[in-house]
Amino acid sequence: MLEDFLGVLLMLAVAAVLAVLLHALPRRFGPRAPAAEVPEPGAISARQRYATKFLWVALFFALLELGVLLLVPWAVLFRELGSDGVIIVVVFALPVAVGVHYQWRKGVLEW
Amino acid sequence: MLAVSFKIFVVLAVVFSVLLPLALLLERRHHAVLRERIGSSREGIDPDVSVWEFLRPLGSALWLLVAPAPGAEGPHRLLRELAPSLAFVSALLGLAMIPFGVGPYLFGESRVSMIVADLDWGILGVSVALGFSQLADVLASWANGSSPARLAALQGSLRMLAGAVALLLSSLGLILCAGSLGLSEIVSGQDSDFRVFGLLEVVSGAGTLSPWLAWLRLPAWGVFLQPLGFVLVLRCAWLATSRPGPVLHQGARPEAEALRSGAFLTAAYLERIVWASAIVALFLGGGGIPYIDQATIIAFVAQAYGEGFATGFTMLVHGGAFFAKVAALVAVLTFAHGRFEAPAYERGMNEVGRFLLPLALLNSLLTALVLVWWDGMQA
Repeated sequence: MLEDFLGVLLMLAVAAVLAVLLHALPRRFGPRAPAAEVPEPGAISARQRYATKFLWVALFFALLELGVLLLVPWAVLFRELGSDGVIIVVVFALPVAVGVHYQWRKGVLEW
Repeated sequence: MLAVSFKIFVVLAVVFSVLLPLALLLERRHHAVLRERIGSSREGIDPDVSVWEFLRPLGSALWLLVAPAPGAEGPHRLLRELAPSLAFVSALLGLAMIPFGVGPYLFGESRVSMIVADLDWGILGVSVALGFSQLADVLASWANGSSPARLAALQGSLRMLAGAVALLLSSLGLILCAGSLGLSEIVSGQDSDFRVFGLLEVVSGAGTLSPWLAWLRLPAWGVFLQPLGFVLVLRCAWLATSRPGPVLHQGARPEAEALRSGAFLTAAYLERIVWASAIVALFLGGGGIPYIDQATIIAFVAQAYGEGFATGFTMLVHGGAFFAKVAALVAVLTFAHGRFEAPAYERGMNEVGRFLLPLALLNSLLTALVLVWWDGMQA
């Protein structure tokens, strides 16, 4: 088990070293770019408020994640739970499906 | 420690020396032919593909290292510096959790697996890594400060998240069959075959059908067990990898942004490779050879050269088969991107929300019902 996480950590370290090299080498060997950052002409600043309609999109994803949160453990334990598991999932999925259906009807899925 | 380091070396060597140049080469060649822009022929270079073409990405990488470094000013300098690295690192992390063979392979008492990090929740890890790399786009566009760039990054990240969620939901049927989230287990479970009409025999209760029907067998790959799931995942991969170009992160001076764009572009191709690797592991049997399972290869070679050599040889064959399948799938994705216009963001999201996700859920539910029924029959 420890060795498996060791793999993740080592890959993380190797990738980080590669990323650092990618930044460090041009600074060491490449010519310097002109320093000042000039804003793009006509660019609209991103530092502004956002419309709340994005809330619906976030809610849609929250519903999806909620589904994944139950469905993935159920899929792993499926053989142990048997037909009871299927009933539990259907009981859980129905309110979520109603929520998605409501969002669909409200036009949230019309991006 | 040494074994893990060696595995990382093998994965990185194949990805950076074969798969990445191949993806770039295919994209350049295919798009050039499709759009009748065969640029290299006009420069007096032979338009036929040659081995030297593989060195082009290396040349580009070397050029990036001596290109003007990005400017150090701006209110979000750290974020601008971090963003491309984040995309790069998370794509590589995804690769670490995908097995590049079948396994486990036994050398006497010791077990060797062809995966850098053999986690019980490998498929979740790959999904998270794919979603996380898209976060880099949002970070970069936030640091960029321009509204259109940020909107494009948000749209892209939404598409990528939808893709990652759809990857999980479309693979749910396969997880149901395998009973595990570990990619190693899913891959080794596919290293066999099944009789095509076996189910028919059980359903009809007629016993064994005619001998030639019993002879018809298919590899127990995900693509044959879960064809709908495979089609859905392939479609999700295509949608998710059609992300906004790195130009969105650029500031006013593209020549000073070459490195950043290059890092984002590399990360985008790495993501394509991660998607292809995940699909190969989930649906195309990983490094397995159709109809010839691991034990058969080892037993056959061991007759002449001994068990240790046979196991090592099998590892090589499986590794080669895995990377060949990934290269083929990367080619398919690249051709699809060149041939078909990616749907606009709205249409893509409509497709994910109204078509792919409901179908994926329906597929899992049907699979669950069939499995419950099958277990009942067996009991």
